[in-house]
Amino acid sequence: MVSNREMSHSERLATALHGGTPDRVPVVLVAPLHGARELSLSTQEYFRRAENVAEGQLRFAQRVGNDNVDAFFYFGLEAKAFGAEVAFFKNQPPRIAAPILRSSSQVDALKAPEPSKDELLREVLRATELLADRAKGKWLVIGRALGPCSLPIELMGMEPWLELLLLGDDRRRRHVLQVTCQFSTSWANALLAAGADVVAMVEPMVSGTMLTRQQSAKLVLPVLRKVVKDVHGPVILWSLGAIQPVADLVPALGVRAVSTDPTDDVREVKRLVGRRLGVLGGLNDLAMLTWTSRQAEDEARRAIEAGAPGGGFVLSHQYEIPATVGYDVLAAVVEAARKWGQYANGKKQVKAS
Amino acid sequence: MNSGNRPPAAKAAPRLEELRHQFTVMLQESDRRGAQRLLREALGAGYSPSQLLKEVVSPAIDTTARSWAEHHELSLSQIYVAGLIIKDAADLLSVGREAGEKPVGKIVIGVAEGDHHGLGRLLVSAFLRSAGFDVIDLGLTVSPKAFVDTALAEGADIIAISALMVEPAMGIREVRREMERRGIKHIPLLVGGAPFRYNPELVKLVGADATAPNAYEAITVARRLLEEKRRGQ
Repeated sequence: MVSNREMSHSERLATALHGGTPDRVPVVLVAPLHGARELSLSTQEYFRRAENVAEGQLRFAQRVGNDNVDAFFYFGLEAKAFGAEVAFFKNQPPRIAAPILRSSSQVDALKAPEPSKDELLREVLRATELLADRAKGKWLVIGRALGPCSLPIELMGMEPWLELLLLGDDRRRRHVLQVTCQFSTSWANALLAAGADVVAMVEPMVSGTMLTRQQSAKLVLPVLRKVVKDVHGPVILWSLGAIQPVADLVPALGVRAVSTDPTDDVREVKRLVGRRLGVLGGLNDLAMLTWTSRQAEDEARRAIEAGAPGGGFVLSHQYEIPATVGYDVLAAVVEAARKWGQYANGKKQVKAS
Repeated sequence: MNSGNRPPAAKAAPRLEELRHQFTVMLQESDRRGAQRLLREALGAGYSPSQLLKEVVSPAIDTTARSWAEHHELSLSQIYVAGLIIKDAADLLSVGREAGEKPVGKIVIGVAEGDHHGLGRLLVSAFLRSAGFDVIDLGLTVSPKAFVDTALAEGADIIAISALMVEPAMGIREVRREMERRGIKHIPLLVGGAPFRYNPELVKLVGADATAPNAYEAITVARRLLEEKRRGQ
């Protein structure tokens, strides 16, 4: 059922995430560094206080017109709660300085921290509360949690984790995943309790980019399914990589929606996941670095024409918007959704150019 | 080299082409243990390390690289385990060039300054070494000056830089600027990593000469750069 009235950002996005057809294609932009730009703060200063992040993200959404506000700070904050140091750089997302698990004995001694006891995670929860307080009913508040199968990349580094996951000791691998499952579940639930409407579980390991289909089915999907089951709210699987090779396995995870990568064919992913799941994507955030606003509109229109028919599509991108991408490019993306992404009578209506 | 395609000591040992086929399958199917066992048994059966390297391991890598170049759904895990199998083979067969044998070319490799993600560079190094290149690995977060200093000191043919993060990738411009400041025109700059894969326009923007979408295709690109360089001299 499609209403001709204009929906709020929140309604529009929630409808599409349920696989439904809103008034027009919604837009989700993940732009943590643009929040710092809005407030003219360094990343270090910006991410120090929840108030900065909430204010920066609201100003960004008001300026650009996207349909989400995102309580995401940066990758590495989960690893920081486990004891890692975070390094800050100009115009770049902060990240952990070095993995904390460097020996088997450290891996064996790994324990999950309690999110509410970590200072930085508490700030993220406060930012989520502030966003929920100020944006609830207007924008959809997205919380982000690193998934259980990818958190070990931050804790031990990609190479040791791949080696343990694919070729290593079963008992040790099970131990790591048990700890990360416990943490990812409690962190996702804390974000929901703080007011996030939906949690984007970031899982690069759940993608054809990282593992073969057989490896995914055996090693990571059962782990993620358990976490999603224990999370008390809707979950978007945000894979950062190509989801198409495993897209038909996604509905069994119990997630509400799934993100795609620019190498995916959004039409085919929609077919593989079925009508009940929302699909996000269509744009390449790294290509945005060299786009003009005209190119942005063309790319967004192309993505809308591929993904929008039948509903359940959110115009978005794979990772996060690089800090130097201009507002004109991002505004052109949203404008394209307004211009080319209108639905009428349950069908996408493509306006004549 | 044994011209009879069988080791002198064991008439019943598998032929080299059978070993090559089996090793290729193991490389492509991530069978690390199987590949180690196969090479150990072949050594035990009397084949020499250099015979196994030249007639089993190297052709298997070439076949795999060609096959994977046409295959678009390859995962990092497959490339990663292949890199381990190649490294195991190099260790087991004590790869190092035989006395008097020259490397195909010399490559200085490292991760862009500010980037701590090193897996791509390790895989590229493993594949390039397997193809006969002398690879000097400078590790993570390497300054433009260190790239250029080392390339000059070592007489490198190519500078190869890997980056996962956008800003360090864009910082590769500084390597090109450092080369220009010193008037270096004879060393091509090869870049790789997600930013260049997702936005090939960045290759030109940072002043690089070429990119390779993955570790095994880095061999082909490095060979081409080397050939172009030698033609230009």
